[in-house]
Order: sequence, then C-alpha cells, then structure tokens
Amino acid sequence: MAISQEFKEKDSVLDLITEGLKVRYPELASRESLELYDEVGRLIRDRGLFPVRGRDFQVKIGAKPELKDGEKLVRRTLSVCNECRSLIRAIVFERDNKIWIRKVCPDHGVMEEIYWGDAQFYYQKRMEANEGHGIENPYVDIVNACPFNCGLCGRHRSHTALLNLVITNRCHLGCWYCFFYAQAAGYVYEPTLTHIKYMLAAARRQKPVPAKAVQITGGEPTMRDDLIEVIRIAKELGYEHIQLNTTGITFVYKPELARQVREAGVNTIYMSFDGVTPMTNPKNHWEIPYILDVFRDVGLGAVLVPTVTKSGNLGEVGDMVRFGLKFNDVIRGVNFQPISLVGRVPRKERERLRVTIPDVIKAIEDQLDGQVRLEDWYSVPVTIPISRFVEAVTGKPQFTMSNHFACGAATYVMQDRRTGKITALPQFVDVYGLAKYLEYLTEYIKKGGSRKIAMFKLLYKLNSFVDWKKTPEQLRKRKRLLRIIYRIFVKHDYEALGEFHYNSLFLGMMHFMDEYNYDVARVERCDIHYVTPDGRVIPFCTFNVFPEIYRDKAQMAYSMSIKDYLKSKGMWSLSVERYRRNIKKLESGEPYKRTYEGFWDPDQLSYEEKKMISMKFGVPVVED
Amino acid sequence: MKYYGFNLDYENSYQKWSFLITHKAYVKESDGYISIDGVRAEANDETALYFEKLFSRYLKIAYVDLLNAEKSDLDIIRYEVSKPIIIIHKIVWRHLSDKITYLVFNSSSMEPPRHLNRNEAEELLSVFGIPIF
Repeated sequence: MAISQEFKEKDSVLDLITEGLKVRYPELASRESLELYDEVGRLIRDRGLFPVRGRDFQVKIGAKPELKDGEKLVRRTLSVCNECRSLIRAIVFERDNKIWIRKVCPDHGVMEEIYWGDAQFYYQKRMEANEGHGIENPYVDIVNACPFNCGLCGRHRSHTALLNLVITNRCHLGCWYCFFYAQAAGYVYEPTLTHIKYMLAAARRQKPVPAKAVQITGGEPTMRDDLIEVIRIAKELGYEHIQLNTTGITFVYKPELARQVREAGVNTIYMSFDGVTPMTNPKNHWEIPYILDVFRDVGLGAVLVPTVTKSGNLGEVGDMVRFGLKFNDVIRGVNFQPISLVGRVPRKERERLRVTIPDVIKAIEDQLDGQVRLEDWYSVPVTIPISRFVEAVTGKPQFTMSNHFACGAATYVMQDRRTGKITALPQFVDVYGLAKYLEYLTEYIKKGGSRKIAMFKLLYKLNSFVDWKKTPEQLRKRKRLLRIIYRIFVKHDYEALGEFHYNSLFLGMMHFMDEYNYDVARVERCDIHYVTPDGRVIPFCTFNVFPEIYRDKAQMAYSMSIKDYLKSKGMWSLSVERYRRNIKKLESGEPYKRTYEGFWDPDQLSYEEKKMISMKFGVPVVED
Repeated sequence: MKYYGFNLDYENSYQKWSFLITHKAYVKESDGYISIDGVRAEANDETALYFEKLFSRYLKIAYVDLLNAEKSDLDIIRYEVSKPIIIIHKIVWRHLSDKITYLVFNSSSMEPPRHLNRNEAEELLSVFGIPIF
C-alpha cells in the first residue's frame, strides 16, 4: 500500500471518533467492515473508553475494617465505597447466623450490608467451590485494579458461560425503575448486523473454551425487524445455546415471530415473570397466558425470571414454582433473582427490599410445605466434576461454570403426575456421591486408565446413586432417569442435557451484586458476561453496577441520536412503538382464566385498581 | 526507577493451590549482572497492581486472592535503580511436587515478563551470566 494511501485510511479511521468519545456510527456502519469495527474499538478504548484512574475511579485500600465483639471473620476481600465508588478493603463475617460484608472508606467511613441470610448454608456451599478454565487469551492488559479493568483481563478466573448481547435499547415498555431504554437514555443504541457479527465473534475467540451460549437482550430485542438475522448469525458462528430475553408481549400480537425465532435457532425464551398476580407482576401478568399458548403451539421453551424483593413478591415464590410445574410442558425453569439494588438506595429502602439467596430458598421451602428443602440446593460450581469427567473422556476442554459459589444456586424439581407430590432431584440422587465418583474416574483416566472402562464403571455404579423409592414415577419407569444421566455422559451434548430438562423444572437463584454488597472475589469469577460494541467482554456485575464506566459509556459512544434514528426509520416519535394494554380484552379470554385458575382470582381487584397498577408501573391502558 | 520483587508463601483451598514464590534481582554493571538487595515495602495499591501485572496472567492470582487465602505470607521488596534490572521469581508448586516455574522480568526488554520452565529459564539467564536458583 502506498504511504499516502495508508495515511489517508488511518486519518479516516480517526475521523470516525469525535473528541467527545463518540463514534460517527452511520459512517462506520456504512463501511460494513469487521476489521474496521475492530480498529475503531481499539482506538476508542485508547482514547478514553477504557477506565482511567483518577477520572473514573479511585483506589483507597489504606483503611482496614475491623471485627466487633461476637463476630467471626469469614474472609477478607475488596469492595467499593457506597458513596465514591472507590476500591476499598472489606471483610466478610458472621453475626447472628448470617453473613455480612463490612467495608471502610478512608473518606466515607464504615459501611455494612447483609451478604447471605444463612451462615451455615454459606459454609456448606463454600465446600462446593471449584476452579474452572478461566481464559488463556485476555482481551485487555492489566492496567487498573479489579473491577476497573474490564475486560476480560488476565485476572479473570472464568470463561464466558453466558454471553449477553444487547441488540437495542429501544423498548415497548417504560418501566418506572428503568433508565436504560432509549427514551430515558436519550439516544438509540442499535448495532448493525455486521457489528453484531464482530461482537459475537469476539466472544468466540476465547481460549481454551469459546463462548457457546448467548442471550440476545435489549431493551426489548423483539423490536428489531432483523431479529431473525441476528439469531442466524449467532448460529452460524457456532453458538450452541441461544436464548432470547424478552417480556414476551410481542409474541401475543405476532405469534408467527415465535415460530420464526424457534426455527432460526433460539432454544429458550428468558422471560420476566415477577409473580402470579397483577400486583406482583404488572409487567406482563395479563399477557403471560397468551404467551405460554404461543410457545406451546410453536414448541418453544421458557425460563421464567422473577426479580424477588422482600416486601414485594417473596410471599409468592412457592406459587411461582407451582406455576412452573403446572405449565412444565412449556416452562423449563424458574430462575429467581434476588433484587440487585443498583443506584442510590437509602438504607431503610434497602432493608425493605433486600433478600439474599438463602432467604428466597427458605421462603420456597415454607411455601411448598417442605417439599423443596434448603439442602436440595447446590451452588453452580458443583457441576465442575461433571465437566472434568467429560473433558477426560473426550480429551477436549469443556465448559466449566466456575463462578463464585455465593453468586447462585440451583436444583431440579419434578412433580409426580399421579400424586402431585413435588420432589427435588437431590432427594433421590446422591449428588455429592456422584460428583465424588466422577472425580475418582477423572483421576483414573488422567493416570492412563481406559476411557471405555471408566464409562463402563460409571454405568455399573450409576444405579447406586439413585434412591428409586423416592424417584418420581415418570423417571422411575424402566429406570428412565439412568438412561438420561448416562446419555449426558456418553453424548455429552446439548441434546442429552435437553432431554433431562424436558423431564424436570429447573429452579435457579442468581444474585447479581450492587455497590452495597460488592465483592471483588465474586466478580473476578463471574461467568455471565456482556460483549461491548468495542469488542470487550465484561462481567455482568461490573457492566451493570458501574454503568457510567462500562454499559452506558460504551453504548452511548456507539449510539445515534433519537432524532437521527427517527429520521432513518421515517418515524415521528419513539412513543408510537409503546405498548398499550387492553386489560378487559386480555382478562376476558379463555387462556387467562385457564392459566391463573387456582393462583389468582381476578375479582379480587376492581378494573380501576388493575388499570392503576398497570399505569403506575409504566404500561398505559386502552379500552377499545 | 522503582521495581518490586515478591516472596510469597500461599495456600488457598478455594483454588486448591499452594505454592512458594521467592525471587532474586540483578542489575547490569560494566562487567555483567550482579545480585542486589532491595528494601522492604508496604502493601499498597501500587504494589498490589504491580503484583497483579506480574502474576495474574500466569498464576491466575490477583491481589484479592491474597486477602482471601488461608495463608499468604507476603514480603514485598523494592528496588530503586537507574540501570537495567532482571528480576527472577521462582515458583515452587506444592501440590504438584515436580513443578517449578520461573517468571523472568527484564527491564531492558520490551517484552512482558516471561513464564518459563527450569530449562528455558536456565538458557535465557545464561545469556546474561545469571545462575539459576
């Protein structure tokens, strides 16, 4: 290439970024070049998109928090100041059979927050902690302290288990608490298909385990006309699991889109669902029955995702499990998320809302009359012995979910079709025994033992880990459970795991952090990541807890003004896309009555009360 | 210029890791590299970041892991020199008795620290006349 031409091209790349750290997005998009997205990403990071100490954060690890009388130290860690967001020292400790975090900022004093609601359960889950592969090829150098160096950097201890891809910040709702959607943010972030390909490919570059699962999210991702193309791109790039994070409302009015989504490659719909009544779930209560019917028609599975608050829907968690079981033909799981209190939340308000993983599990135990117990739940890294065994058998690095044990918990439940009794998998499968035996077999193979003999030993021994008297009927018949488990180990693919999911209801807990309970030891193991428009991969709890450094900053840099967006689409206002709910029509339908029968009596509230609930939440109501 | 070396006795049941890090530092004189002593330094944000830059990529160990560990006896030694310096960290892994690795930092090289097995480290250091330890 001639020198003058080289200079010209470099100048032209530089011209794509303004002084105010903004990409001239329509110009970049018009070039449709993966290489250019990469080059612009590197340049904009160097120019200030990457966090800078002093400007974006401070480190103040001089002061040490102390224990008080009657408290027991669990471990030391690092956290952030609630006031100035500086990196500061913290201790995790036990008091009154609960786990707490205390931190001290030299400028803002001592701060304390509940960390886990049950100390004994914390110690049990700590035993399940395990290491995974991490990543061999970090995306960024270590320049700043964690969590102001994302990412991922050489410190990070987990590869991507689930990649979040934000394809739009437009949304058809205007939930009162959300500052992320286009109208509230004041700009539209909507990467082009080529840009999306660049971002998805960036996460696939991870070694030794490339990202295999992606969640397409927003905003509301179904608002993009080219959603099907996005799904196809993910599929083409080798993503094995594709899930769509949506309110589901679009599918009520465009059921054909659900079929297209499934046919393009979406495995699961990840759907907000905060309870079985309109009071607890004003977001999509009235639409849920119709959404489930659409999914049933097209063969899509859904995972319900309740955000749990102490004062809001903690009293309905048992009903949410029952609801999942009632519609287990469509609902594959319920993934509870104890609320993450991101932003300024006064102490009293935090105390009113805050719940932790053990609190939700205990509420489920109480509300299901002890059928699903505290001890039936396991932390996520308990799956690592399975990954290591499959790795030993196949000789290929496997997906390892090595996030921090305090980040999540899970179990599987089944309902006996005859008796209605709910049974959790650990009540009839010896999970620890199986994990220990898999560790033994893994060592056996590593020391030169035959893989075939190892598999034969597993087949021979598998029966001893199952208590058939307690096994639900549908899995007991002809020892179906054994065949499913064995297939997971033999086929070790998505299909085999899917067969297990179709016969059970997954129950999960995922507690994302906020600045009040922030623990750097947790975030350095995070395996739920976002890919940013400049090609970085960033842990969930830095992306969303420090939006001004990560999420908003990156998306704003690659955004366009609402005015330009409207002009490009020939629209006059984003509000024309806003969803307007017809409560009367939705409630009068047969699916509504059938779905909520036994959970909620619509006559408990007047129409005016229901209308108020919807509007107060941010969804306008229409009547024609 | 300020450089740091670390001696660390580390055990962490979460990581199931246990190792001992020791180090030696050499500066360039007219007749080759000679061993030097440094002074003890405090753990602060500067040394924490320096530690992470040296070790996180190779050992998957960050400063917060030191705070979390069952055992993390850490000595930080500061070297203030204006000449080229080579700092060698020897890592003896306790749970893998045969595994000894070296991390070699050469301030006159543009390369980041290199993580080497014993033979590779011996070969590299022999160019500078520095004995392996």
